[in-house]
This record gives sequence, C-alpha cells and structure tokens, in this order.
Amino acid sequence: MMQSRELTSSLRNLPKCTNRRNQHTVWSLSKPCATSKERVIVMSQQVVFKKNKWLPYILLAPQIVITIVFFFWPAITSLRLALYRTTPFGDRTFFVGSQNFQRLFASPQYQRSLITTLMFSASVTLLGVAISLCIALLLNQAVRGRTVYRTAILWPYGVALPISGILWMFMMHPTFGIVPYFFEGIIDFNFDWILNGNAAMLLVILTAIWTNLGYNVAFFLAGLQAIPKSLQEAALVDGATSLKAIRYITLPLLSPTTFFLLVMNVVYSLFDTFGLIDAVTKGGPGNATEILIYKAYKDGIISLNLGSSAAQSVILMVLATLLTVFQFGFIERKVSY
Amino acid sequence: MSQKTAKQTNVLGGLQLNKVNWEKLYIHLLLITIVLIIGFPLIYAFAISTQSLQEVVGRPTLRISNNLLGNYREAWVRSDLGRLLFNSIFVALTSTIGKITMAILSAFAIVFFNFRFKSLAFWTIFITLMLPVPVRIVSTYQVISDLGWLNSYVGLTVPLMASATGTFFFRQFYRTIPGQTTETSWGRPHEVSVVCLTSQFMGQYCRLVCGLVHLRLESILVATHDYSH
Repeated sequence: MMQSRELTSSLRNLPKCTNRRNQHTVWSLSKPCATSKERVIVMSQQVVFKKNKWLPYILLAPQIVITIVFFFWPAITSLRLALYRTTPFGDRTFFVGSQNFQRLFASPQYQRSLITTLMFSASVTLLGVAISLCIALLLNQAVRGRTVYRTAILWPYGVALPISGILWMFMMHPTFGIVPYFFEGIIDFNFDWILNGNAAMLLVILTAIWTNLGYNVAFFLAGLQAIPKSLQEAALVDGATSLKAIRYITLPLLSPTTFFLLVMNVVYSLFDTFGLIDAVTKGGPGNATEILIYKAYKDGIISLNLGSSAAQSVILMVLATLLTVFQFGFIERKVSY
Repeated sequence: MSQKTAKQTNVLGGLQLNKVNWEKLYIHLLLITIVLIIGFPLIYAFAISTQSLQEVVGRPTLRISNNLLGNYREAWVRSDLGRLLFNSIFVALTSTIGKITMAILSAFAIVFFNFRFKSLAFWTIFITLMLPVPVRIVSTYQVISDLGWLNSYVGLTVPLMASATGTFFFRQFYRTIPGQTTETSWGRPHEVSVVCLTSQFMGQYCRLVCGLVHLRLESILVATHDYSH
C-alpha cells in the first residue's frame, strides 16, 4: 500500500513525457521514464527546446504584427465596410446591414461580371491545363534534351503578367499587329480588341494561358516522372496502344497533379490576373473583360463606392477560402503507386 | 546462359532503337515547333525592338534591323529605366530578404518550441494563405494610407514580408530534421546545429525562390500609388 503510493508519487514527480496533442516529444524523455514504445517515438520525432520561455514569442513577433496590421485589420475593415454605405461625397457613412449584398446580386452589372469571370476562368483553366498536359506528355517521351525544352517552355513564365499583356496587345494590334496580318483572309474575325469585346476577351485569355503554361508543364512533368515506368511498359507488353496506356494508366495516376493544377489555375485566373486586366483592357471595351476582382477595385477606388466594393471583396474572400479548404481537403488524399 | 539472355535483350533493344528512331524524330520536331510557337511573342518582341518606327508601323516582319542600340538608349532615357530597374530590384530584394528572415524565425518558433499560444500563432499565419493580396487590395490601401506610407518604399515592401508560403516551406523542412541531428556532443539539442542545417536548406530554397520570384508586385504598386494625383 505504502509502496504503491510512493511509486505513483515518484512517477508524478518525473518530468512530463509526451505531449500527445502536438505530437511532439519533450526533450526530458531521455531520462529513464520512457518506456520502450515511447523511445521508438522519440527516434522519429522532433526535439523541443525548453530552455527559453520568451524566445518563441520574440521570434514570432515580427510576422504576427505584420499579419495583424496588413491582413486581419484590412479584412475586418472590409467586413465592416460591407455593412455600411458612404454618401457620394464621402462625408457620411451609415449602417445598411446586408443591403449592399442584396443590391449587388440584383444588379445586372454584377451578374454580367459573374458570367464574364466564369467564362474567363473556365477558358484559362481548362485550355491551359489541357494544352500543358499534352506538351508535358510529349516532353516526357523525349529523353534527350528534355531539360532544354523544359527551360524554353518555362521562359514565358519569367515575364510579368502585365508585361506579357502589353506584348500580346502589340501582337494583336488591329493596324500593325502580326496576328491580324497573318490571319487576314484565313479566319474572318475582327481582331480589334479596342472595339470588339470578344477580341479583347480572346487577347486576355491567350495572355493568361501563355504566361502560366510553363508553370503547368513543369508540374505535370514532375508528376509524370514520379510514375514508375514499369507500369506503362507492362501495359504496352500486354498489347495496349500507347494512347490506351496514357488513358488508362498515366492519366489516373496523374490525377493528383491535375487536380492541384486545376485549383491553382482557378485561383490564378480569379485573382492574379488583376494586373493583366488593368494593364491591357481596364475591363473594357464596354464591360467585356470586367472580371470580379477588377470590378471590386474599380467600384472602390475609381468610383469610390466603398460599401459595394467591400461587399464584393467579402464575396471574393469567401470564394478564396472555399477553394483553399477544397484543395487542402484533397491534398490529404494521395494516390499510391 | 546469362550472357546469352543479355545478348538477346541487346538485339531486341537495338531493334527497338531502329524502329523508334523515326518516332523520336517526330517528337523532337513537334517539340521544336511547340517551343517556337510559345517563344514567338518574345522573339517577335526582340525583333521589333531592333526596328525603326517606320518598320514597326509598316508591314509586320521578324527581320532583325539595325536600330537596336538607338531604341534601347531612347527607352533608357525617356522612361528613366535606370530608376525603374533600381526600384524593381530594391523592392524585390528587400521584400524577399524580409520574407525569408521572418519565415525562418517563425517556422523555427513553431516547430522547436512548445508554448501556450502555439496553435493560435500557427493559424494566424496560415489563414493568410486563403486571402490573396488583390482580394483585400482596397482595405490594404486604406491601411497603408492611414499609416502615411503611400508613395514610399516602406509601404511597398513591409506588407509583402509576412508570407505564409515561406513559413510553410521552412516548417516542412524543420519537421524533417530528426531529433538526433540536433544533439551535439554534450547530448542536448542545440540551436547552432539547427542554424547550420537551415543555412544548408537556404541554398536549396534560394534556388527555388530565384526561379519563382517575379516582380509581380503590380497590385501593391497600385495600392501605394497615390490616386489623388
């Protein structure tokens, strides 16, 4: 009786062994309290420095301060602004509740911008991923000079998006561009992006795809090289054509990469293309290329309709959050070869 | 016996090589075409940059003309390119160095210490992954304006320094360091060894970052540009 009580008290006095919640092992585990099972855990896990109590806070301080000032503060301001409306001269703001959102969804301009964004994002994502998949499959066939081709294809990715926008703008210029000159008499299409909304949309989509192509190809190639060659060879030995081997062996095994790239391209086309639109079309002609992110900026900073702009920012925030959660949820599941 | 099989596979390999050669040639031809199509805008841009104004507005050609130096000199002088280049490099370097420093420090704190607000700190940093800069551009502009940082390098660089992606990279790296590696001769985990490993990883990380860093700062440029002008 006495002995057992002594034992438990001595056990209690021993340093705490594991912090299971954080899956970390506290350093004092090297003392004899660890059982053999726990020792195994120690081998594969991290050490934790216990000496300094304030050091972690000091290390984290700069990043946390910047995050709060430039991330949380603007986000909260946006949320608050979305519930208010500012008078045209900006002298008074008053609370309107969810009216900003209601007006937004009822307005034909916003609906049109939604459709424009949908068309733009779908084209950039689907076409971009499909083209780069084809290029990566081809590139994977070539053993010699693969790195040279890959570097050459990655080249446009080094050009900033607004700059490549200006490049394509020049190439598709109705009077001295090379593209209308080349296609004259072949295709009956009005390449005048200054007046023709469809041409402006084509210009923006082409630029966005062209700039991101290298990124997609690089990821696809990495994914393809991770697939063991033996699987494809086995299929070929069994009499499958190479197209069939691609369809039934390569593509299913590549699906995690494809999914990752689809999400990344959606995010890219929704948010990163702001600079492109701003440099090339400014949402015009008419509102033909006014995607959601550009409309939020235009309504807020040019038209000074802060309440509506903040409401649009909030909608975009929700969209971005959903995409991120969706992606993280999928990344956890991995295909094993 | 084994020699014989080796010979057989060799013959087979040789046969395949002969058969495949044409296929390889087609693939290479196709790839070269693709590379030319993809590289065309850049090649065209270079060709145009060597032509005179008359040639540019005339019939479009890919001809390399002799106006290269004149054009570049004029661009350099007229748009004050030296200043612009300095701005770009300065802003990119400052924000990258700040970003990497903060990422190393905070990832170090998150991985190697147990403290009270650990998970809170973790989520505070990683939730920023969800909101790209353009989404909160208007209110970020307002914050920069409230701080009086408009039209300044501080306003351009500091908001970019807190990077969840960088912290994430370093966290993943620190988690791969096994406990034994950080034990030094006196048998206790030692910060110095972590620092050594970090500097090793920095080499790899820098190569990655250099490949990926672009001067894609245009959205923040918009934010700090004073629109009242």
